[in-house]
Amino acid sequence: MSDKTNPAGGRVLRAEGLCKSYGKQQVLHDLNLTIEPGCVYGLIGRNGAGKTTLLSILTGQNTMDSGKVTYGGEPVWENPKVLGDLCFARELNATAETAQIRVKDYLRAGQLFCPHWDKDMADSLIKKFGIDPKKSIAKLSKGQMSMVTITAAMASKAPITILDEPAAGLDVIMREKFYRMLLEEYAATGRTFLVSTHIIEEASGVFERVIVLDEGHIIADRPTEELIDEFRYVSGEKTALDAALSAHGVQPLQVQELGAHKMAAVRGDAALFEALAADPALTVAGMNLQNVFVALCGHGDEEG
Amino acid sequence: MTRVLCLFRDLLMYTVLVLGGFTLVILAGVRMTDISLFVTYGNVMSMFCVIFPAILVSNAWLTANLAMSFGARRGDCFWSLELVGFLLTVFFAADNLLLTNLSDSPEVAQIGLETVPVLVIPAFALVQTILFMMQIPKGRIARNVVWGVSWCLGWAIGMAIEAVYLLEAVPPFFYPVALTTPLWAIICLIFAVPGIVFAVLAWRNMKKVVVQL
Repeated sequence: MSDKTNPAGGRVLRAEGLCKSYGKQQVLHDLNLTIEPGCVYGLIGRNGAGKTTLLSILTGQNTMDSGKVTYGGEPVWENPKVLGDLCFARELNATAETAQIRVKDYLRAGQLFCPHWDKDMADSLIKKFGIDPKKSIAKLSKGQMSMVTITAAMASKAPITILDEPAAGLDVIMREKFYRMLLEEYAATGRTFLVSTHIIEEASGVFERVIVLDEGHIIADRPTEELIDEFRYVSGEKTALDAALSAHGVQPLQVQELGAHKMAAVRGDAALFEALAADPALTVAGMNLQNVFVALCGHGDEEG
Repeated sequence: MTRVLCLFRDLLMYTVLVLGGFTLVILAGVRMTDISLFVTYGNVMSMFCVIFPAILVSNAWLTANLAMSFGARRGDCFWSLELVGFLLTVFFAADNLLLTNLSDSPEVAQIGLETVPVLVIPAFALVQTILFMMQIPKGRIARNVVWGVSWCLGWAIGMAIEAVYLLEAVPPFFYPVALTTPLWAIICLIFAVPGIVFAVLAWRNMKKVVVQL
């Protein structure tokens, strides 16, 4: 957590019993989520997991079938007092009708509606990114569109800032710059950031806490290090591995076999991993966040 | 609501100024030259008057989405759109009235004050239709049907008003183009009733509209 006093003043963004469906397809199932102030959250999930829907509902930009979303105990929906403290910077789309507006008009809208807007910051970021503010959004490259989104998110100075796939169009150098900028801003202001991304491993060092969304359910909401620490790859000769897992009553999350060799992704605690590591026939190795995500959400995609 | 109106002003003012300037060019052209193109444009202003507010409101709807994406309330956006639609309707009616009356040419049909309601009611009804239509997701047939029918009816009434003023062999029940004439009163009613229905539906849908960028 940042040392700075969080501008949200201790107010929590909370979703309770959130359900949302599009037609017959239910996207979010009785979802509960708490966004504490002064923390950088990562929201990860597969395509169609419901990430954008969840983020847009959290910021009052989409409807829900049931449940409630509150910020500091007050409902978010159509509440101007609350909406001014939330910023949802979403991916811009060149084919959308709104893409015809110019970058400077887009930022002008941000300035008008975000009460904490920092115009100097917006101007300097646009200059730093080398974007012509008179250009229409539709004429920007995908990377430049991401930069405009990031500029709006940063300059909003909103106590709770939500970014939907901010790094999607950026090259690796710009992504590094973005995450550094985000951390600097976080260290300086203590703002809360909730960032959804597909590029998990790069971002894992930035997230203090990670939320994993799978098929409309939150299957993990933990400090990143704690979550990673719950998982290990255990490998060894097939029969030895099966026997060891069975002896400890462990159901592997994901299995890969190569001839007589087998590797399993396992969830457990330190005692279990120590016991498995003590078996000379087995090798226990740590995972990174991306491996954990694949182990948690890769169901149904096993090969062979 | 003030902030939403400020955003509309910023994004629409340029277009409105250009259209106002266009009117001045036509007026100057009709008064100072013999070029028939200016007269033609002078005479089609009634059609523009009915259609243009709706077209500009459809652009304003996109601006409203932008405002909502930055946290503006739906209610504020809706009433701002209504106000902008009304002001645009009044602007184009005044624009048409001034152009045709100041052109000082027998070839440009003069629109009288009594005709203004016959222009304003369909134009504002089309604004309501557009507000309703913009809330229908893109690609739905209903959206295209509503837009197509509204567009055709808007052009049709604009052309009909011009035809009545310009043609000589028009049956007397078309005169004058005013709400006091039963035919025009009925036509205005045909626009007003769905206009009111669409306005109510647009307001109801606006309360649960999903912000799209």
